[in-house]
Amino acid sequence: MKKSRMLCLVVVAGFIAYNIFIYQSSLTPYVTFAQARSAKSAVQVKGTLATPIIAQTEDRQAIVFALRDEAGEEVTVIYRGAKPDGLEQATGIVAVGKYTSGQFLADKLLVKCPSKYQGSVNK
Amino acid sequence: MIGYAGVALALAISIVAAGCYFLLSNRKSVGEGGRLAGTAQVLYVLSAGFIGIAAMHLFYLILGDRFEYAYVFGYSSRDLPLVYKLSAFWAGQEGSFLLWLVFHAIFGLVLLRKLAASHGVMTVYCLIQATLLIILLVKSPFMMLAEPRSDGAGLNLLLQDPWMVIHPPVVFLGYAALAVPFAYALDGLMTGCHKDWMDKAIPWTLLALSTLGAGMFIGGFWAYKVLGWGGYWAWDPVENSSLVPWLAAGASAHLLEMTRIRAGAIRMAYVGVIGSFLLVLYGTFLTRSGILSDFSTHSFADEGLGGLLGFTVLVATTVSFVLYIIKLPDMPSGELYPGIASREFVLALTALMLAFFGLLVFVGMSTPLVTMALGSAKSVSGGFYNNAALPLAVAMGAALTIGPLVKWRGADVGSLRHYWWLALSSALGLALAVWLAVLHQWLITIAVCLATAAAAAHVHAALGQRMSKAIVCSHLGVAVMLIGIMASGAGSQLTMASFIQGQSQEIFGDQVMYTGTEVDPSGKAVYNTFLVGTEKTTVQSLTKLNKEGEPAAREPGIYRRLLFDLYISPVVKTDGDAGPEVTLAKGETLVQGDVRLEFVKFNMAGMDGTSPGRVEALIKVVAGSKSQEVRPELINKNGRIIGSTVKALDRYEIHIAGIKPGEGKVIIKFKDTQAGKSAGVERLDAEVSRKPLINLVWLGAFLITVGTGWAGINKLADHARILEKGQSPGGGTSYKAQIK
Repeated sequence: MKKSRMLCLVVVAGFIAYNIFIYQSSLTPYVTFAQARSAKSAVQVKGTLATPIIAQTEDRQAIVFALRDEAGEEVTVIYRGAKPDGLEQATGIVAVGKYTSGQFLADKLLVKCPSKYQGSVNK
Repeated sequence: MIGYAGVALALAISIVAAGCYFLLSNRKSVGEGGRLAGTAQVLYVLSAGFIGIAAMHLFYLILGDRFEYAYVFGYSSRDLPLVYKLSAFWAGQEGSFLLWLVFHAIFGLVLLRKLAASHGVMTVYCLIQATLLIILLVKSPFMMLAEPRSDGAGLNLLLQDPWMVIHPPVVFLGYAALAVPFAYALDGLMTGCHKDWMDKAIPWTLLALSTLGAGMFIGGFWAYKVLGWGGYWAWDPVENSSLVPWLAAGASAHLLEMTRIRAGAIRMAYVGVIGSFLLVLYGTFLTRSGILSDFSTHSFADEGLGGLLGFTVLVATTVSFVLYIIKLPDMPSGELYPGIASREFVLALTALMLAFFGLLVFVGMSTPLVTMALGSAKSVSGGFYNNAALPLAVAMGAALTIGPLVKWRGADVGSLRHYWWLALSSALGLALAVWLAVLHQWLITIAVCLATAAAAAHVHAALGQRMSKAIVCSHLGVAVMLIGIMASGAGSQLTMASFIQGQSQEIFGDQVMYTGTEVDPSGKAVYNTFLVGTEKTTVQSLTKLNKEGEPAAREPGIYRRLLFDLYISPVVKTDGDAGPEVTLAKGETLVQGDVRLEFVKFNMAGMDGTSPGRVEALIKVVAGSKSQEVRPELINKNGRIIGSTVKALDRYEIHIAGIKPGEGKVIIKFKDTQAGKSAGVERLDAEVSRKPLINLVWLGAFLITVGTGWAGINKLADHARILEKGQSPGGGTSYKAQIK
């Protein structure tokens, strides 16, 4: 009885330790572009389209655009995948990924769209 | 105004009814307050009636195309098919709260009329109803627009799918059902009758498991079928906010079952049942306050509900847990399980695992909120959830295997030699892992082996009539779904394919040929057609077009087979233009047959970001002795980028598709309009993935839904039968002498 309790406790403690470890390694902080440039791991940046141009890479496997954050800094974002709908009209774009060699490689884009009828009422 | 008045009246009456029931619940004997009880009952029925009237009014407004109402304008339009007009009712925040209330009122009537719920239960239930009505008053679907409109904005094309019509109602059935055990539990705490409510609560917990589960599965199936990113579950806060209450309800169901035998489980059952509903409220707060709009792909934007919802969660949590802590000392206690080889132990372990998994998802989805409060916002990547779930999936498989073998109170399970068929079924799982080529991922391999053993153990238990068929069905569902998740996830293969019209290529062992793209005669969709496999099965991916004729939703093409799916998501084309894209640097020349295109330079206008701008590319087209300079341009029109197409020498079309920021290069498409079809062979790039055994995910989902629903209906029937016989309900619980 006591032995089984001990075994349970050890297993549960191991579980918890493991989960704390994976939790810490998967945290992606929200940062400014300046911080993103020096970050080692995956981060999230938020901004708006700096220019309305959304280009495709040569192999047409990714889209490229410039993102501007609230501080007015700009960064080139490369996102491998299809262009999310409403990217051009987005009121805000969140890119999750890593900054490498002068570009932000995003593996996820979150596009915040203005609510439908607000957009048309304010015209 | 009828609807708005209906909501307001329902709120007032709910509060009065709650007051009446509260007074009644404080009376010692049931005989007193006969007239008051009658009044309270009439009041409750009235409040439910007014909720019904409000709902009917909203339907009436939507079906009547009353676009002067902001809600109708926002989610419906004249040309919307009838079935989607119905689903426009719950397409937005306000309507979905009203739908939740409709279900809440229906369940309330069942409680009152069929199940003779006690006054205390009705007090709590009326208070929950009042809270939901306050939210609905603050965020009403019956608001008028400042200027009336002749037509609405229409329903998001992504939501125009049969699965999305039923997804919200099914989810809200589950949310509404979880309020019932919560009301029973709070009444149990207040009256101190800690044992009596368990039997009455369990059918509702099971029904919530069934409906909330079905709702999640439908959502996942829709995401897989419609969104085209290749998966069915993204660990998005909106998804997690349904998953966490579902896991808590799963833990509750096992704990409630335990209380029938062990009084020691009562304390935990309280926490599980109360927690399940509080997590529903918390999830509602998280996803509808707009607080996570930077972290979630489909969280609602902030619409002024945050404070109210947050306050609701805080008050409900504080009240429940203060009450719980006060009453903790007089709760029955006792040994939880006699030994490891007992059904009690496995049940407790299962509840613990479900709760632990729920806690991990809860921590993950709450991270943005907590870190935001601490000053620097962070979120967790999807990898956290997957890594957290895997060891638990293994443990879950083990518990599911042992569960049917052990007996209540730890009776002897006999010699291990009787269980040779378990080894055989695990070997089957191992063979499956080899076939899937996932052996190098040992945790996944173990999970698959255990899940196949668990399935065998349950079939064996069903044949030996040691477990009810409904429970076997839901547990089989979990085992089958585990195998499906592991196989389709770890065993999936992905590639990027470039298709040329009419040319077949082999992808993951199947011949795939792209035959072309055509516009639907209705002008509402564009289809890409593929012929797949030896039988040349037609598979179509489609792009739905909005009223302006622009792409608004894309659905992948799925080649469905029994053992795998081939999943084809075309990469977005910038336009429907044929002809390859060419990137040219300044001064570079493109030679196409006897035509030469020289990219001379860009003319920038307002591209410094100060104003919405225009870029034109100066391109010189030379064909033989003729030459012409053209200026195709990229224009920003109301935030949309439109590349123009220009004609040169009355024959060649040049379309500008994009520019390369920072490199000074232009991307153009060139088309010779007089060339035959052969020159304009279409190309299509697509992401193709092969997902083995994905059908097991859907089969498992179906079995879980059916099994839990079936078990819930059985228990509800038992409860009603006891009531009819005039016995005091809850008399089915008997404890063996368990004195502290």
